[in-house]
Amino acid sequence: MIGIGYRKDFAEEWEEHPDLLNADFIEVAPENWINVGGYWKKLFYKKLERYPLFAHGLSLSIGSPDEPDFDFLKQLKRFLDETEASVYSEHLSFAKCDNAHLYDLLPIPFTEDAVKHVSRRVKQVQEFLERPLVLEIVSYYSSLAAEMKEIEFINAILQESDCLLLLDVNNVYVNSFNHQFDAREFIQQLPKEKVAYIHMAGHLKVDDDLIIDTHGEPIIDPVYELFEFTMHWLQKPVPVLLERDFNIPELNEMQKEIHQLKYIYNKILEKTKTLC
Amino acid sequence: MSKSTYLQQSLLAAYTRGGDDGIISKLSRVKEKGIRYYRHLVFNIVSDGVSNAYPIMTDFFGEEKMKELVHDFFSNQKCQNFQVWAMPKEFKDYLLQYKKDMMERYPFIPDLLLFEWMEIEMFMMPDEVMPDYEKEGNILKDNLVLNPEIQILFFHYPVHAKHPIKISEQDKGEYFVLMHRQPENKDIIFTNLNLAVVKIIEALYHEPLCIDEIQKLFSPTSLEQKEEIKQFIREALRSGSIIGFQKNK
Repeated sequence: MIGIGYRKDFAEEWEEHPDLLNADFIEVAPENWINVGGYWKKLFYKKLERYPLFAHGLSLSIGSPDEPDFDFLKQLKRFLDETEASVYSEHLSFAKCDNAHLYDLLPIPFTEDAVKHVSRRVKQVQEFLERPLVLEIVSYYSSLAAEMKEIEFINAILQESDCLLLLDVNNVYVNSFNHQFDAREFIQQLPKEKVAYIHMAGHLKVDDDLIIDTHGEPIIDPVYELFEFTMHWLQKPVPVLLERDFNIPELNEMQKEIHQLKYIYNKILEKTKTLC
Repeated sequence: MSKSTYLQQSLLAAYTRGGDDGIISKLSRVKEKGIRYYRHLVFNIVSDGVSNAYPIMTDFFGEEKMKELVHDFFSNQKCQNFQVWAMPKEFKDYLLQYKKDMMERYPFIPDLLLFEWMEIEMFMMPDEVMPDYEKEGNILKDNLVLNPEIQILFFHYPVHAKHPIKISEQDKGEYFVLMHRQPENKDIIFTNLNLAVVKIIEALYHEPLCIDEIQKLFSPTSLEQKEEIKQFIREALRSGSIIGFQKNK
């Protein structure tokens, strides 16, 4: 299953030319659609008639020191129910602090007490939403007050909170470049039974030692290679999403990326079947 | 969560909101370049959101001045809306509350902020339940049904009709503007109104009325005024601020 992040920037063109982009599912950020009516709702609901929906949130701020925002969670739950979203994923980061939204994803300190805090919140959220939470490994440009390695932090949360993992292959690539570690070794240390969803995207190298996860460029070959490695390691079908948020190209360009992902995905899964 | 973990997160959040370089040295075990990027990314998201929401105001003040205003806003305002597209409303409210000197110098700014924001708000707002109506009917006999996705704005300055650079104190007056979301294509349409027509809209807002009932309510004295009412209704039916005719009457 290869899906596409459904964005307003290309929603009209895709509606006019539905055959230019063939995906197995669409993904949206609930925050961009909750309580939205009018023109966008009309277009979005047309797509929902044809595609299963995955929801990928932005504002949950699971690592925030603040209390969970239950008013937001109520609206989110209503949206997930109404749209029959099959998956709800979010970011292992914080986007709100001291009662102020920041509208971007900041790194949670890799500390023991943050593991406990986040795990407690994950349980609260899962219970409230009555569905599992799938948490994404985010890209980060600096760690903050870290007392353990990123991989230890992620694995501790996965174990303690019992949530699932969204493995963003591009983010692992970006982090391995920015923080000088081996991306493959990192992936192999993750609990593969927890991997429920994969994200793929492009990024931008802004300096000799810094890559920013922009979702505004095509996927580069080393990230495709890391994806292939990941699929080899996983040996099971997991939904994969192509994310493109900025510099939206022609739809056929995105379709080429979907083809490439599908090709790798099917190739590895066929091999796995044969071996079995 | 321990106090020290909370403090580190709070400091990073404060830095991304206000950009105070003095904070960086208080952050533990960080890469300065990466931390500076967070400020850059957060500020750009907020700044782009505000400029896109208020293109006329941005054009009037210029990008540098707008960035100053955004910096002031985001440093001081604890944004409450989880939806980034709705954040510019908080920018508007912040300026209206705290930038009194700017409002005195440019007295049309409150109207301009409202005009630009309302277009977004109405374009995005949840769908209202449409009353039962028929598209075809007799304009002279049948009751008219108002589009529920409608609002009347009142301005002191003609921000809907003139670029702010051309607005002067001589323009100060009373301007009524009807805005509605077109039922089919969901576009936002603005229409200039006079006071008499405002009253027609208000009457139709309470219940569907036919043109005779409307005319009785306002007792137009001249043929010209009667024709003006008819003309408005024909135009409103065409543009979608009146969606059609009441069923079963």
